[in-house]
Amino acid sequence: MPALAQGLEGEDLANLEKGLQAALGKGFKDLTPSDAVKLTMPAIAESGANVPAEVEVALPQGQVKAIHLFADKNPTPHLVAVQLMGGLPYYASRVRLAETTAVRAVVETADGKLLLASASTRVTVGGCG
Amino acid sequence: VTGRKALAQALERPEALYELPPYGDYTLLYYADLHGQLRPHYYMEPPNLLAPRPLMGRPGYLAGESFLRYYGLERGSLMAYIGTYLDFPTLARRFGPVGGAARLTALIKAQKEQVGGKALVLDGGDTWTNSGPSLRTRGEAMVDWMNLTGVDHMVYHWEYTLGRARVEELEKKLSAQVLSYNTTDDLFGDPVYPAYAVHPAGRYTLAVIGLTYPYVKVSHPEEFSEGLSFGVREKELQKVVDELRAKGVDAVVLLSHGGLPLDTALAQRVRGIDLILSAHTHDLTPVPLRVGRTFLVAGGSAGKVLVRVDLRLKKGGIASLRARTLPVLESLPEDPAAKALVEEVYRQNPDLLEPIARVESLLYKRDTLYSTLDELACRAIEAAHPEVEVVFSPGTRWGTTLLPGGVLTLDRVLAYTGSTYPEVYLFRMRGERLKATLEDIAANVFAPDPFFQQGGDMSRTYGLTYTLDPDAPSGSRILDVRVRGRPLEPDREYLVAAYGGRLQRAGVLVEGHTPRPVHEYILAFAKKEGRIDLKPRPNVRVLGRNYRIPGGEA
Amino acid sequence: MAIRMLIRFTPAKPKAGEEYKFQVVAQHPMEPGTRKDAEGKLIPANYINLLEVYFEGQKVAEIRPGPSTSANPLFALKFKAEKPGSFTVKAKDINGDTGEAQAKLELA
Ligand SMILES: [Mn+2]
Ligand SMILES: [Mn+2]
Repeated sequence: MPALAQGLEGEDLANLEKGLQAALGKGFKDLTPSDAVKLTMPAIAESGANVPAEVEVALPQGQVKAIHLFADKNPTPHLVAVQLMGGLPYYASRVRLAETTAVRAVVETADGKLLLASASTRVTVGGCG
Repeated sequence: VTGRKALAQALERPEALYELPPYGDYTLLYYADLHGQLRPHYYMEPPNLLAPRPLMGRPGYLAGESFLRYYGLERGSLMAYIGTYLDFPTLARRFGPVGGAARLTALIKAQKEQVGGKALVLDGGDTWTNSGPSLRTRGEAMVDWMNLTGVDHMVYHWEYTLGRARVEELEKKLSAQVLSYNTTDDLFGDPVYPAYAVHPAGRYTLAVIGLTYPYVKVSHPEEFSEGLSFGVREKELQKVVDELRAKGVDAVVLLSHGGLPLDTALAQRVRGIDLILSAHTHDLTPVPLRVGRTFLVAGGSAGKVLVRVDLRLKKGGIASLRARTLPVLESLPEDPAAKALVEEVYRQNPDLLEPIARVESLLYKRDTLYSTLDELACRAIEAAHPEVEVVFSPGTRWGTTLLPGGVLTLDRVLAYTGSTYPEVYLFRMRGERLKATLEDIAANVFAPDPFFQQGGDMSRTYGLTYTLDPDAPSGSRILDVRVRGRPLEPDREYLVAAYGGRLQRAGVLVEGHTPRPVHEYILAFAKKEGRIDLKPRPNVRVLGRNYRIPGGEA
Repeated sequence: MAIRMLIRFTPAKPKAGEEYKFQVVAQHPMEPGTRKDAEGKLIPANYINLLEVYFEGQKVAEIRPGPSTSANPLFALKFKAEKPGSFTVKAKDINGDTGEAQAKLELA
């Protein structure tokens, strides 16, 4: 098991596997953790309904076919698929996270590899002032 | 140590307290967390501030004896009355009620005059709501008061519970400038407020940066701040500080609603902040704190004190400072305009001050786990809905204190329950979920890293008892949960009542129950009882800490 | 109902050869289908599931969101400025509602 995938808060590999199979027809074992993929998530969400997510890929433009985001604990783990035809390897958005979860950026390269970066975001029901 | 001793003595002679010899180049007059308290009242500091182990004994978690020890104060002194729960009823009778908008205004004006006007008046936030007058005027009474007091800058937190639209409406009237580097519009992430303001300070310049409470959306229903985002945004703060340094600003001050633990962490992690004026956790710092090269001064709460910080500036920073925590005592003069404003609000809302019941035991709000005012709210809900098995009451830091022999009024009830979402909900929730909720709140309160703390004290539970292990990992801090004395059954549904939070959204609402504000329950209960005599009955056992409630047998 | 969208370039006028951010914000509730209303009833799913970005008539990106993108969603991409031209964004949600927005990229 890749070191990057262990000990993350909110990890749920079984649920993630379902999402990976549905979206890519591949499983967690087919992913290669890569430092070229940088996934920026807040360590703690201000609001689970609105969590900024950003993916930057340090690879030449033509080598990145698509960027995917997954959240282990979401009922539908696949958050988005972004096909890049003319853009730089970058994607940012705001996503809903159901609870504290591991988040994955999966990058499809032109040569058919699936690169992985993981992060974890804590979502709480909160306290009061 | 001698400095602390000298300070302790000075605090015994109030006249020496308010007439300060000139010092330095520029003065900041700072108060925080007023929570709409316009009239003098009592406010007892918490008997316990349970800390995550790595933060034990640090400012932000100093209650009672440890507060006195840390700041070198004598038991029974004025500052012991202001800063601790110790001997509270006795000291309250000796020193009298604290706060009140009319005296706070007069004190601010007098201090400003003492320094020949070379001062900024700064409001640390949590000003516009949580009291009868503030809620009845939807914040306007507070804005009027700020305007006549001459506040220069403020930051927000509970202000947003008035709703974003109302906040923006009040801003049109507000003469103070709102500062925030960490409030952005959700459209494209643009800043909503100026991040800072730069002021000339004699031969030097001084910048004030504003930090809005980072977790507005976690602590309150999200719709109140729709379309806005907050967050700590440490890197952006560093950018702002660097930008000010590059401009040649001499002193950089952060007006922060981050709370003392988070502000301490920010002082460690962000370079170049000279002084943090800290709000939100309602702490008091009778002696200024120092973290690396950053000074920290907290602003107290409930109108209890005005903090005066005199700065001796130098090229590129603060050479030294003198900070004095000035209690707002009954013996101080009142500002006539502020007094008239307060009287007018109460004249228009005469029901607020009608006597409801006699108070025969000490009623207070603040503690990490339990308070007698929460007990009162929960008993009132139980009296109306005897079928309810568990009641939740929010662990807000704001509130008030009533002494034995006092009188309960709607004004005092709203001082600890008054919010824009006061409704009591009845709902069903599985045992497993109840425990998970407590774990989640505990994970929040006892997070060893202040960057992961969002919100106030633990929600209070009634009908439900448990053992708390603050040092256990997340998910295993809550042990031996019992409902009405019987072990919690994970698969059974419980009938729960809660107010002032969002817990009901995680359960299934009871059909046919129309939510009513909690203060209506308390009023009805107190009227029927005629007298309130609540011996503390703390319902949480704490492992690894000496958790005690005065008068409680736990 | 047509989906309204706003487009922004950062910097507003990039220099030739410079990277710029391309952001689209859509006015849409993005209901995931798992949220409950005040009465506890499930709010039906309704979210944008396709967003196509064209530059000078040529597709440069295609975004397929699932049910978990935030309300009033933001989609951000990056491009390298080569020539001025016109961006078109087309959006469609799972109920078949569509929207289109245009913005002109000018170079400094
Ligand atoms: Mn407060
Ligand atoms: Mn606060």
